[in-house]
Amino acid sequence: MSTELGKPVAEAHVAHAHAHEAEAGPSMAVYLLTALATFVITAIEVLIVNIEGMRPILVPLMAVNFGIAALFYQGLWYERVEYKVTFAVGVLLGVITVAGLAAMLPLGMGVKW
Amino acid sequence: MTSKAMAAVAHAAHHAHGALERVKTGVWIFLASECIVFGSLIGTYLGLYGRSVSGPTPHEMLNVPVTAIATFILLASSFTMVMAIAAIREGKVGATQGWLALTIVLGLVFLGFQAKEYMEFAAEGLHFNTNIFAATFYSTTGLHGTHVFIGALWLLGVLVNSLRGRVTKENAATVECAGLYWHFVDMVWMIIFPTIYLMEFAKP
Repeated sequence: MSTELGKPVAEAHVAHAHAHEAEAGPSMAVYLLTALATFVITAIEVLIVNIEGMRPILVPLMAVNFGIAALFYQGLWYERVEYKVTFAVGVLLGVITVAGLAAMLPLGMGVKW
Repeated sequence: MTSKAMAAVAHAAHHAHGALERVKTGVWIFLASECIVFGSLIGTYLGLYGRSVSGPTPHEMLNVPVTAIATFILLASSFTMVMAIAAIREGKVGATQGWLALTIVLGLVFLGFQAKEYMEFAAEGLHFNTNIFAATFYSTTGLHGTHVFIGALWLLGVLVNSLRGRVTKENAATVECAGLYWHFVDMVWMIIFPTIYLMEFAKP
């Protein structure tokens, strides 16, 4: 009897251990590097504002900053593929919304406040 | 402990784990939908940029150095948040509480900067209905500020639960879910700050 009940318990423990392994997430070194990266990128964004011809650089810099935070602060890099796809679809729809509104609102605009 | 009791404990732990997984799934779906909400506000700001017929203009109002300080404070709060998550994963409840409290304080300091900015703008005559810049600026940054406030309340709830002994290594996902939201709020500001503040002064 004891053996019969012990088997599912052992299996549950193994499954639990595997689940924790998958959820281990980023290490402290990754968190420190992420913090450093986001600070440095943001500092570069602020510093290049006064340099001629640097405006186009801001867009890739903010995208990289966003991506690094999503992957390593939110831990998306270590997450299940379902979560990766869900968030990626959200970000993609967000980008399409930004581009669509930014492109279409000036069209046919007679609005002046 | 008998095998039967151990099986019951394993079963209960499995159920609790499943419930937290469902919450985490819900948070990810919610954050994905939030991308579209903020996308619509940022897109509207960009689409209506330069359409105001009267001042004040963004160039006259926006203060990059002060907002940069607020931005670094919010970035620091994301680091303290991951420290809280790392601490609870190791079962260090006291450290978790300390990092959570620090994260809340940093979030509130960021909101203080925003409140000061709004008061200065209002004093200079920039109200929500003054012009298109004001409407789009206050909508975008205001919604973000609201998210920071909600995030701070969420973290406060987690902190209070932790002080009552309800947050442990076993249910670390409760801290992780709050962290997902907090990081997202930080990430949205990583887009809003360059788009509204830096693009205004950057040289093409």
